[in-house]
Amino acid sequence: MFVSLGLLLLGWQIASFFLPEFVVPGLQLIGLEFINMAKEGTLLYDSLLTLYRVMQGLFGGFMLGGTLGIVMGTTKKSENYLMPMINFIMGVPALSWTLIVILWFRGTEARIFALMLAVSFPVFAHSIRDAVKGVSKDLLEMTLAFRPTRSQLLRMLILPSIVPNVLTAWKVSIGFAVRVVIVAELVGASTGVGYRMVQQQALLSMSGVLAWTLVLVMMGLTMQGIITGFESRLLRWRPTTH
Amino acid sequence: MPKIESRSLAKIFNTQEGSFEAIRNLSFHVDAGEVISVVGKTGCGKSTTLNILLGLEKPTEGSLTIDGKEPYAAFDYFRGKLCAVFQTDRLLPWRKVLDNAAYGLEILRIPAKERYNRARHWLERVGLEQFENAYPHHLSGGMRQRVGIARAFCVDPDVIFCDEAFGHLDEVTAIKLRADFLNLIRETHKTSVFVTHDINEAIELGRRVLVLGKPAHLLLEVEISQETNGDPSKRRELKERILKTIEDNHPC
Repeated sequence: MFVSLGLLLLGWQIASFFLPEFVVPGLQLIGLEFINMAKEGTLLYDSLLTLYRVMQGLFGGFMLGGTLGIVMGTTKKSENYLMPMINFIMGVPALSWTLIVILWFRGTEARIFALMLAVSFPVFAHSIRDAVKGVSKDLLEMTLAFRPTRSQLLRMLILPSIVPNVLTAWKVSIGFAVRVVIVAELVGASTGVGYRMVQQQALLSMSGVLAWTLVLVMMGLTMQGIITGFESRLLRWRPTTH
Repeated sequence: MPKIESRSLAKIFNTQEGSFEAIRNLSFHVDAGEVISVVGKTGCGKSTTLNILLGLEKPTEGSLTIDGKEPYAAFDYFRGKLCAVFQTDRLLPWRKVLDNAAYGLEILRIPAKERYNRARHWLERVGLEQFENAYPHHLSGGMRQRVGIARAFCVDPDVIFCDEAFGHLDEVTAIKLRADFLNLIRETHKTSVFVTHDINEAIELGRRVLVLGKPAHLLLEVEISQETNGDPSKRRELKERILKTIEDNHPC
């Protein structure tokens, strides 16, 4: 991994010697941007703000989508009603949602939250429905023979069964959510990484745009890493994790 | 009154491809404390019968009662009263052995301390006391099946069903496990029903053998005396008789 990334950086640096600064700025310039960003305080503030928006939206989407997924996975009837709606909502492009929430809501935070919710909950609903439907019939019968209550069935069999799928859904959603939140901030916010990027672009500062881009890449990777950490903790029981 | 009573039981599944008759006019009874075997070819409706016994399926016609109540209808009455050891171990892969053994007790809301004491006791009885912190995938097939047995005995059920529980194991393990299981059943005087396709196993385990045809109905019912079980030639004779009955009903 380090070799591969190192080669990329090396190639970039060599290219920067031959190409103008506003096309391929050298690594030292990007580094300087980071120092400036840190000095101004925007590095920490805007990154954390964007991170907060991503997490808040995803968490909302997870709660809503998860609930719908469990309901759909356990009752056929509700699935017939809910699935077409969810698929319809899922079909609306993220960019359309961005424009819609700007018209619907006033505050920046409300707009971004609504957007994140709209784009993330169908993904969670789908994957959690599939996971609930995929709960082993053998284990279900074994459990039912003991006569559990509905809540016991959910807590002792269904929820633990779907943990792997939930984690996968989070991993997929994080990458997606970071991309969407940036577009939202670009269009309708005066804070956050997306906004800072437009600012840098307006100043024709390629190194600034790239520095913020790096922030985003690292944010995405860090969150993926955290989920992977959860995965190896929560899924210790799986033979494949050893 | 018999513990378990089946009268003219019938089960028909209606699927998109048409209807499928799994059980036809099946009548039998099991007395309290009795140990019986049910033998028949694979796919003759044995598992469906077991699912009706466990209350997981509803009969299409006829009735099946345990303690005079229908397992499907009286869902709550049978909480913790019916247990099964299945063909595959059916352990929860995310639970350690101890928590798997205590699973039924947790559903019965037995406090943690007592739950674990009882689970440990039964794990010891099946010889797995040293593995309580292992995950199921660390154990061999035979050991996993032992955990399943401990889980069933843990809740101290009225009836224990056993669905081809030894069919997946190698012969050596199966012989040992069968003997251990039978000892536990005899010791605890549980009413037990062994469902199997193995005629030898059926004769060895049950005091009475029900031979099923396809779709499941009673072809033959034989008492197994101590004498028959102890005498190899008599056992062979009985096996031949059962084999012929099944063959005549449904030639392969």
